[in-house]
Parts: sequence; structure tokens; C-alpha cells
Amino acid sequence: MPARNSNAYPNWHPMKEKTDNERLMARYLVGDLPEAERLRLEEQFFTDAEVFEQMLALEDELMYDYLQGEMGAAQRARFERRFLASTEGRERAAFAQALLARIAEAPAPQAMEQTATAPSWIQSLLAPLLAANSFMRFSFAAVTVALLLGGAWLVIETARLRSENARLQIARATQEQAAGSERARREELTAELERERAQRAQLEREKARLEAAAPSPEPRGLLALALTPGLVRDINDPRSAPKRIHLPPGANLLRLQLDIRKPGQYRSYRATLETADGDEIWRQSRLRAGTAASGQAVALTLPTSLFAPGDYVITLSGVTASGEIQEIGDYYLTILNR
Amino acid sequence: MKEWVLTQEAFDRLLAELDADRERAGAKYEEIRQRLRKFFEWRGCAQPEEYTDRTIDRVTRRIAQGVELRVKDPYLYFHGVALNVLREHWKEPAREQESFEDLPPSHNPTQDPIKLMEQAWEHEEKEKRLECLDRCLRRLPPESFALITEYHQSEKRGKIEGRKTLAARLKIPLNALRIRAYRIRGELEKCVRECVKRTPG
Repeated sequence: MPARNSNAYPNWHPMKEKTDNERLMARYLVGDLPEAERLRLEEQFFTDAEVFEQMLALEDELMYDYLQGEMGAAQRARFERRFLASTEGRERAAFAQALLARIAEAPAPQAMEQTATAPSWIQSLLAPLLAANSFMRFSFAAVTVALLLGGAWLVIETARLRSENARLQIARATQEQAAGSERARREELTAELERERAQRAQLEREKARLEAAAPSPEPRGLLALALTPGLVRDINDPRSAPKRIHLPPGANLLRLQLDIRKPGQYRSYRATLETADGDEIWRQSRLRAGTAASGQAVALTLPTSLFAPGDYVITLSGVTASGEIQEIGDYYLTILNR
Repeated sequence: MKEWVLTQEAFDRLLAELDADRERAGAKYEEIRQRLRKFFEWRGCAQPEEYTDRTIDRVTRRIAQGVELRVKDPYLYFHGVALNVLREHWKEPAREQESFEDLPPSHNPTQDPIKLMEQAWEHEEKEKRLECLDRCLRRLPPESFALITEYHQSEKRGKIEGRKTLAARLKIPLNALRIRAYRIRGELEKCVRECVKRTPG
């Protein structure tokens, strides 16, 4: 921190209230600061907007100090070299001089405070009337009348709008009440629906439980019968006669039990359904034999829609372990009607 | 050495170094210009604008050539470059000779500084400027007019006390009062400039 040496500036009137930084700034501005201090101050005003504005304000104030004779000779020279060497600087100085002249002519601040008291509103209102100009008085009167008429209209319009507003508010309140009732009714119905859904879900769970416990009934529309193979269709042997089947109207499925007279060691079975003309209308492979009262049997389930009235033959074949297919027997049936 | 020319691309890169947001970068650029200008002015350069441009061009060229501003504050980088430009200015041979024109007005036997100031306005329609000043003073808010009047009206010895009293009444420190007065004067100057432009002469 440089030592304070006011003797170097006998006519300098630095404001005693300036901070150390402000004194440094003032010395910097007139070029009277060591380089290290200059660099430090420059870093400050380059990076800090407040410091920069402080310097601008100080610089501006120096102009007024200069013009008001508040600098010694050495400082004046420094100041002139710095700030009056350019056209811009001289213009600023001219402005400052003119401003100081105008300020000097202005009434003292204390007097200004007294006269600066705002006139009363009545005085403000009547001031134009008191003017000597009759045109002004007429104009003021015309404006006043217009304002009064406008004011009256505003009052009437405001009253009408208030009445309208009240009516709208009543209507709105009524609507809100109705909406409230509607909401309550909707909530009640929703709750009832939820109860019914819950009840239905419970009934379905009960039904599923009961179904799981009870044996599965035969599906509706199922006709079941057993067939034995007819190796030779011998019209004299009643056992070789085809089964005659009357399909009832509601029968959708025909379950046929093909009894196997000579069970063999087959991996699986294959069955084909043919008409009397030899047209294959159905085939199924990978059938398994089951145990029946007659011994072994293969069960087939066929849709009755396959059958028109007429004669049919089902050929059952066995598939050996080596994949060889061996015919086991033919099973004959006659569909009488549908 | 081929003179480097500032291109739009180089300028855009400069702005990008200052800030990612272009608007903020533009504001920072203007701040840097103002500080550089004042730096050269306060350092006694006769043509601060020229040296400001020289500094900015130099920084822009470095950025365009791939140099990154690896500093905490880019403003300091500009200050560093400005110092180099200033030192080069001091070494210029033309500065070694000082003509009468370079002497400060108070040391120049043929120049009266007050007259010089008056001449500054005399050539610029002095009456028009004074009228504009009066107009602008009337347009000042009453409290601003009162502040600026009280700030400058005190007698020399009482000036400090007067400003202390004013600052205490406004409940602000003296430094803040100085800045307020400066801003009001700045508004007046700007008002006068604009008024002069608008007024037919």
C-alpha cells in the first residue's frame, strides 16, 4: 500500500471519505501510480464491473474538479494531457462546463425542496382555468364535459355489468349444483357396478371350483360305439355285418372304439376313413392303443360332419418299431341318416 | 508480413470462446471493447480506438489459429495482450519527438485550454447544444435534478460535507452517491447528443 503523501498535492482535494482503493483509482487516472499498482488496478477493473463503473464515475468527477479549479498546477497538467488532448475529451469538458453553469443558476437545493412541494390536486385541476388564455379555458371546459359524460357512461355500464355478473354467478351456482348431483349419482352407479363385478367374479370362482371337483360329463352331442374288424365281409355272418349307425340330430362327434383282435407290438397306430368308393376322407396317425373290456382298442373321435348316409370303412394299421406299417383290420360302418 | 484480416468465422470463434450463448458473448465482447478503450485512454494513448482494435484483432487471430484461452477469466487475457500492444506503442519511434501539439494545453504557450473547450462546441453549434441541455435538464425527474444540483453546488470547502449530508439523507455511501451523480450526468449527455441530432440545424 503506497504511503499517503498529500503534500505532493497541496491543492488537491481528495475527498477524505474516499477509500484507499478510490485514492489509488484517482492517482491511476492522472497517471500517477507505480506500474505494479497500475497492473493490479487494471486487473480489478477488467474483471469487476463495479470497479470499472467506479473508475468511470471518478474519471467523470475529475473533470468537474478540474473545471472548478480544485487541482494544483501539476495535476492540471497531468489531467489536461490525459483528458483534454482529444476532441472527445474537450467536448466532454465543454458539456461539463455548461452543466456547471446551469447548476450554478439553479436555486439552492433547500429552496428547491420548498418549491418542489407538489401542488394540491385542486390547484392542479384549476391551474389551466387560471391561465390567461381563453382558448385554454374553453379547451379545458370541453375536456371536462367530455370526461363527465364519459364518467357517467362508465357508471351506468359498470352497474349493468355487475347485474349481469350476478345473474351469471347464480346460473353458474345452479349448474354446479346439478353437476354435483350428477357426479354423486355417477359415483353411486360406479360403486354398484363394482359390487356386481365382484359378485360375478366370486360366482365364477365358485363354479370353477365345483367343475374341478365334479367328473367331466360327456360333451354334448357325442355318440360312442365299438367296432370290431371284419376281415371278410360275409353277409351270412352277422358278426361281419357293418354297424348301422343312426346319427341323432344333436350328435356332433362320433367316438369309435376299434377293438383289436390280435394285439401286436406296435409303436403306434394309423387309421384312415374311406367311402365305399374308396375315397379317403380322413386320416390320423400316432394313435395309441388303450385297454378296453374286449382287450386292446384304439379310440377315434370323428366329427359327424364327415359322414353322409352311406357305407364307410376304417382301416387300422400298426407301425412297428422299425417303421414298418402293417395292416391290422378293416372296420365297416353304415350311416343311415343325419 | 502479410496483414491478417478479421473474418466472420474468426469473429464467431472469438464469441464462442467468450460464451456458448451468442447473445451473452456479444455483451461480453462489448464490455471488453469498452474496458480496452478506457485502458488505452487512461494509459495515455492518443488513439485508444485504434489500439483497442489492434488488441482484439490479435486475440482473434490467435484463437483462429487454434490457441485456446486457458485463463480463468478471458477479460484478463485481453488485458495481457493489451499490455503488449501498449509496450509496442511506447517503443514506436514517432513517440520520441514531442511537438507543440502534443504539449498539454496549459503548457502550450499558444493554447488556452478553456478556449479550446469552448471551441469544441463553437464548431458544433453551441447554441443548439445549450438549448438541448436546458431541455434535457427540464426533462430530468425532480429528484435527479435535485441530486445533481446539490452534488455540484456546494462551495469548495463545504463540498465534502455537503455530499456527506446528501449521502446520509439518501442512506447510501459516498461512493454510491458518486456513481448516481455520474449516471445522471451520463443520461444528460446522452440526451443532449440525441437532441442535437434531432434538432434541425
